[in-house]
Amino acid sequence: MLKHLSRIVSAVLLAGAVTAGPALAADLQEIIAAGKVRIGVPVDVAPFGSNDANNQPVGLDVDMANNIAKALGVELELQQITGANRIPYLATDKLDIVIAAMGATPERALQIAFTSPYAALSVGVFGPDSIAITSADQITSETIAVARGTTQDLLLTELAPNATIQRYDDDATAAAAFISGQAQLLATADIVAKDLMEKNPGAELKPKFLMQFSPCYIGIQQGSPELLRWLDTYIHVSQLDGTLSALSEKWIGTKLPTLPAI
Amino acid sequence: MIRELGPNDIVYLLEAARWTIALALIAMVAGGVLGLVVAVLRIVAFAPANWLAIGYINLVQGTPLLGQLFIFFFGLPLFGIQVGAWEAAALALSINASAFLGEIWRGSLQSVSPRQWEAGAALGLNYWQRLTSVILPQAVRISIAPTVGYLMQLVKDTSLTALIGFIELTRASQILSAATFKPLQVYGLAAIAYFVICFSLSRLSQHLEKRTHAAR
Repeated sequence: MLKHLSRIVSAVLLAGAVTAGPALAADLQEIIAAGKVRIGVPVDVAPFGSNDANNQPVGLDVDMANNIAKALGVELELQQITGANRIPYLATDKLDIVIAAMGATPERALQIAFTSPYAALSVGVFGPDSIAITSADQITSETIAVARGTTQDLLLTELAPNATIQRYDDDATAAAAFISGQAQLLATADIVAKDLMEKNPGAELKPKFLMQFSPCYIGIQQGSPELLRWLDTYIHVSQLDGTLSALSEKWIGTKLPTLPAI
Repeated sequence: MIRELGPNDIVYLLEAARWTIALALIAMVAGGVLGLVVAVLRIVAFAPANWLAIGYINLVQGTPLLGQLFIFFFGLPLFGIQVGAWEAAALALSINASAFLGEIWRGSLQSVSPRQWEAGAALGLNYWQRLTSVILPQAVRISIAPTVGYLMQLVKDTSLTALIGFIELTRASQILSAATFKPLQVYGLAAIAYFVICFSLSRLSQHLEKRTHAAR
């Protein structure tokens, strides 16, 4: 109920942000003049961003943020964000850039601007051999655990209208629900499922079906055309010279496919 | 990708617990001072002040703390006031505490029988003497249990600030759980930390109740 409430509150506040006229976004030249860029990354979405054994943030998104600050020639001000506050953070000018494994949707694009995709991961539904399903519409009585608001949540909601979808705060709690038997299926990224199987010998997470190879986009405040153009150029060049693919191999374990520009 | 839960992580949780305690302490002190003002405005013999206090209490008690947190954190920047998660959390919790503490203390003051005031007057004590030597010592003793009960609630309410990204015990647990995929163990440790904080408060309350020298 609290989650629901927080969504309403943030929607109201965002509506207020639009009508009250939000603070002007810092465009490329202002960022360069200020000598620092404020980038938000997740710390609860492995492998994109999580805390390592010394509790320092690491992950694909963290590397990406470092690379971008270096290419801009400015200092990086790294901010930890949550799935719920990443868009409000941009709308209220607390951040210049959000790199948080974000999927692009037309609804989200009403509030923030998206660059071309910089990474992609395949998301699917996983479960034991005893459940014989091969597509989303075959799910009827089984309960699926999923992290709320993620690409896999949006896809499942659309593809499996008859399924019982249990939404959790993050992948870790969704996985715990699956492992403890609260849910029979788990919708997550294939890298997460693979890793979970290795770490938990009892967990049977066989791929049932893959839903989508879903690209991740960088989000920025609206009204910064120069910054948007620069980031798109940076992503384009990094895709051509193999930097992005190397990042993908390092963190997700697969080469980056050719992603169409936005 | 998924890593093990290590001894460093216990340190990380304990460090985050400092912020839970600091936030609760700030809200207790600032909310307590403001709560005194609210309690006084609520009972002073001047109707507009009473209305103001009643309106304030109803507004704060009638809206969810999470909504208040969001209003301070995401709302103030719309008016050009930049606040961090820390300031917004301290502000929202202090205001929330002031309404609840003000109401608890108002009730405690009024629960001392009016005859005590009359008895004091009969002994020739002036208003100030009656308040500080007769009424307050009894009111304070009455208020200790509900005050500490509320403070324990406040300690646990600080966990809501995780939603605006303030890294206290709950948010640190979320981060740790996401890295290790061990939510049961991580949140279990966090629950123990909350228990230790709240249990200390309740022991303090018992100690204070024994120490007040008012008649019972």
